[in-house]
Amino acid sequence: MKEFILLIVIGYILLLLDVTIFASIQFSYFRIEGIIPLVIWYGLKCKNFEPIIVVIILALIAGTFTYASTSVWILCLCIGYILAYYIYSQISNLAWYQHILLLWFITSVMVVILMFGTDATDLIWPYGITEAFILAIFCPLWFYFFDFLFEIFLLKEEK
Amino acid sequence: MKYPFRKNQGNWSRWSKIILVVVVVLLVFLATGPFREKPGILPGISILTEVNAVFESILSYPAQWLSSLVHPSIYGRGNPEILALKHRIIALEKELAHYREVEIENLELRHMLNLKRHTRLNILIAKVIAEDGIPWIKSMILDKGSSDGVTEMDPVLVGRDNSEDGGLVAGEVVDVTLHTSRLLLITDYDCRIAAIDQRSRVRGILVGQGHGICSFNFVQNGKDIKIGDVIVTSGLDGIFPKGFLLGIVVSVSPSANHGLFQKIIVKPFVELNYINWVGIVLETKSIH
Repeated sequence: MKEFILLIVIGYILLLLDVTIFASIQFSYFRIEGIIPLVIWYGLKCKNFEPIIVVIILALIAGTFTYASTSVWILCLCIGYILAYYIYSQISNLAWYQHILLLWFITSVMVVILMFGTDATDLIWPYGITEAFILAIFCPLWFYFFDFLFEIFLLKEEK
Repeated sequence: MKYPFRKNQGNWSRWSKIILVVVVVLLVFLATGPFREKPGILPGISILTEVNAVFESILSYPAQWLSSLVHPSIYGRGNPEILALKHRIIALEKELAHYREVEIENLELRHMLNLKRHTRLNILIAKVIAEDGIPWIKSMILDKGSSDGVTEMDPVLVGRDNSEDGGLVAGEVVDVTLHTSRLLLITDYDCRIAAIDQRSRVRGILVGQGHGICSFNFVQNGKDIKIGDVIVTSGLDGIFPKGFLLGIVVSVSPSANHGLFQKIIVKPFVELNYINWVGIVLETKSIH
């Protein structure tokens, strides 16, 4: 339960940063995103499927930060979570560049869903795919950050 | 770090299977059903939006400061004195950067006061506190809501030095909560405004095209539109009062593949990436 609450709190803070700090340093359509890497990271880490409910809650919260329909966020985050969960449950050893390619695939799917849902389909190439690539490049950094946060807040309590 | 690692494949509990089925059905329903359209702000979501606004307004100050470093403000462009001063500020003193922000804010507020004085409209000045969560959606959160008299579809303007012939259109209000509202900018894909060419009186619809530009749609081939023409609101949409400035025509080309309409690109007068203060026009129904 603590894990779920922590995930929602981190997601909320990332969304806040996204619309303020990250938006202020946005270049063209490219922006640092935290919520998409968080959901992918959670898909990688989770051993069970039930926490998708938490992802849906995160999507509902994300919907309040944007003009886009909340259902678009639900679709985007759930599909990202499911993809990460299934793909990485079938893989044992990957080189770093293969990780990046897989992450690029997952972020591309998520960005394309967001673009379809917001009627911005003409931005898919080259902006959407490039944005997905930038997200994929930054994903490992986010993953280290999330690992670090969860270790601090959850492992300490277990000890 | 434990990344990546294998999961317990194939050991699905009954609950996992039930949840999976429910989620898949929900996703299919959401993708194809009535929820695709935004239903408006629900009561619970409204409270969350209000809470968001508190944090967003706190974070808006460092965000504006950061933005001023990354994107130099339009008010410095073309004026060598301000430009030189700005470079000195950024390079030498953090404190002066703060004063420059105050100066810009003053200038914007003076423009808003000009607008209020000259147009005789009931204008409510609002501050931009956050942007949209999706980079390509051009919307912003304002710090005024229904408690200040803001309603959905209120036009939003930006002032300038000489606002005698109306303000510059920034967009319209699309969502309102008690203390906040969402402004949809004219460059967003979902924004459509009834417009008219000020010189030739040709009518059309101004549609947002994303990053900083709009298109002037439904103008038939052969109609008199030239580069440099000013596009203003026609007032026919019942939202924007007539005669407010929208933008300037930067490109005109005939339709491809024997289409009916010309392809006209309009650059908005407002530098929408840099606005911090806007004027919400209240009670536009009385104007119409």
